[in-house]
Amino acid sequence: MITFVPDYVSSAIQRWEANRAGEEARTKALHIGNPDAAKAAFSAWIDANPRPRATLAQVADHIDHARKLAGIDHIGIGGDYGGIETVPDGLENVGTYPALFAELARRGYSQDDLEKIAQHNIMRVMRSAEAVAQTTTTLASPTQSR
Amino acid sequence: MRRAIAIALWCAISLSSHAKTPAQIADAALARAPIIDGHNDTPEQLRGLFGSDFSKFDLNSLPPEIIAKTHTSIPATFPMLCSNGW
Repeated sequence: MITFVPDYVSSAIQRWEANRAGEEARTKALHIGNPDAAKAAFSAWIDANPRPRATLAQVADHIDHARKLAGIDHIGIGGDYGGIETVPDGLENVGTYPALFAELARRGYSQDDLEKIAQHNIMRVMRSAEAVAQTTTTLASPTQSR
Repeated sequence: MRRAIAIALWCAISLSSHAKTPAQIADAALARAPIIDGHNDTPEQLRGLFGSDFSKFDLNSLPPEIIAKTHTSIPATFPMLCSNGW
């Protein structure tokens, strides 16, 4: 499942988050007993160091990486829309999926590849899981065995 | 009805085009295999905002400030739901 969570697709944001956490601790340590001053110093740092933005291209990089590691048959979309406070530039909402798929096509993904990522892979896995479930219906579930 | 015809046309155009450009390849793929996004937290937002009370919202017309949180608009997604009978 390929996520769109900015922190996970952008190493620049991951580094920024680490720096932010460090700066917050640093300003508190520098202004012990004076939380207002600590807050002001931290705010000044935030103003001077805006959080980087993730991009659609980085999500495509993420997919390229997963393809190298796991293969085209093992990639699906799990964007986490509704669960993230910021979104990558170019992937603002569910209306932008086609732009991501067009970027993958630009990178040489075939129509078959894109269909696998969009739907066929997850359907294959869900059908397979369902088949396994059918073979285990005689097993008692934890709630039934009580 | 008009929307259904528009969507049918959209599907027909997408399926019949000779996909050449990246956008055309993407459109053709999504017409045949609409996206299943395995991780969408819209239900969690609706639980937090409305206590999951379906009488308090309409998925077909969520206000912009709600869609800003869900990033998910059913009407905007609908054209992507067309497919070869799936």
